[in-house]
Amino acid sequence: MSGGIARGRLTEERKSWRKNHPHGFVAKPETLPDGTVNLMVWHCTIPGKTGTDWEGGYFPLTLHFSEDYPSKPPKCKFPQGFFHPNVYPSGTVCLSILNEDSGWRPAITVKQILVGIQDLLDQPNPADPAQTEGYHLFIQDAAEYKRRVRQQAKQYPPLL
Amino acid sequence: MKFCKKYQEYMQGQEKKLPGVGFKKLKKILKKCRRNSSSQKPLHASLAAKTCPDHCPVCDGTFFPSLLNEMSDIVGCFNQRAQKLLELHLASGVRKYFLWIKGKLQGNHTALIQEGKDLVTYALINAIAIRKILKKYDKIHYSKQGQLFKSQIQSMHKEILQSPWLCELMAFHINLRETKVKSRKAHALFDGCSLTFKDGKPALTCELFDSIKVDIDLTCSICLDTVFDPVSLTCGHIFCYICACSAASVSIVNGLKSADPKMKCPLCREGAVYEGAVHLEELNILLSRSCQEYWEQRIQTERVERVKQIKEHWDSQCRAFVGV
Repeated sequence: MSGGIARGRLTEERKSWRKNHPHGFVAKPETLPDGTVNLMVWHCTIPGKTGTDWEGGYFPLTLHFSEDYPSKPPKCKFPQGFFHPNVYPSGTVCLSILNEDSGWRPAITVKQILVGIQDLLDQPNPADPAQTEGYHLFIQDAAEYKRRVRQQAKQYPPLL
Repeated sequence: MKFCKKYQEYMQGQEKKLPGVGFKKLKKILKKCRRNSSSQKPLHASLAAKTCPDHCPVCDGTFFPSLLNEMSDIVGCFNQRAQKLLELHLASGVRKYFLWIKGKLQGNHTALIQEGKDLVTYALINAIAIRKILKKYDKIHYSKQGQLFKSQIQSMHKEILQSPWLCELMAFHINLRETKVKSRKAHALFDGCSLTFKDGKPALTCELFDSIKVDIDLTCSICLDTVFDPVSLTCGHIFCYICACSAASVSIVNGLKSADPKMKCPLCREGAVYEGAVHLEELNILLSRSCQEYWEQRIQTERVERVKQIKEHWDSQCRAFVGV
């Protein structure tokens, strides 16, 4: 309905995140070349879960918020070509809680979105495939799927 | 003292006959159910004495319909009386005078506070009674039917703790508690309400003797800030008025009544919850007193937003009128 609510909410989200956030995660609003902060785009990092094939990887994710946030969910994008059954070739994440018509609620916070995506990494939903390659390997060749996941985790080491 | 006895005493102590939970009658139904099932004598006789089949005709046909009717009466009575009381308290000028005469009441501030207290106690003690009888049902049946019934009741808005008027009465009680009131005996049950802040987030807390504590979160889950100009949707969730309008995709000019029935609650995703939304005036007064600095700041930002929306509304009206 209006950008005022979206910006106010994102300011609160930022405050809440700085006060307390899960270990290893990063979430920062974009800083423009002139030094101003753009609250409508957040650059995030999701760590791979310990004890899974994703461990050791720190995966970059961008959240794009619209002026209708939180009535409408943000668009969440990994880098183009990211390997996962529920990530489109463009990098957009396909997850029920990010779908306005199914699981999205304005009460869902940035923290919950990022933790939800971290869970999705190691628990793909084969009922909702978004890319051919990731889906086929996950269904048909578990060993190759594991290898690809580990390889991708190495491509995204922690930023020091 | 057993709760059943305490409850009976409380209900009998009421001056006006109020609807309540028929504890004895419902217990009788459950006892009858026990007897019926034990007469069937399955292999495990010890278990049979305590349990009855999944779909028990005695319970399905008598217990739940009976409890549902009682709950409807309790919620209906509570909402009606609370609404009347708050209307009377918030009315001003000539309207207030007329309401006093209409209700044949003396303009007694103390009586108002006392009635507010009575109503909160009535709501909470009945909430406990319902919880206890459903627990007993589940214990006897080794089932989760009682819990299931409770969640169905919530979706039907027959759960008294969901009532927006309970929240309003709690705020009303806090707003007026400076006045010393001589409590009647029944209020040994009532430990009073308070506005608490945890990590800067407000909540209404109310305790009733030893077994129940009600916490109502006063953070709007849309803006993640303290609710401002709060409204309660029919599902019982509280939001800022402007946030609720935004979630319902309506302008503040048209208001929540104009929301599409398909629009869902931002928290529980229940549909058709906007039309019967209630403005929580007492809560608004309480929060404006308790968080003055925040309130002033929020008034400024709200004013800008409201002016903007009103301007947009009239622009669109003018365009429609001119035919652009």
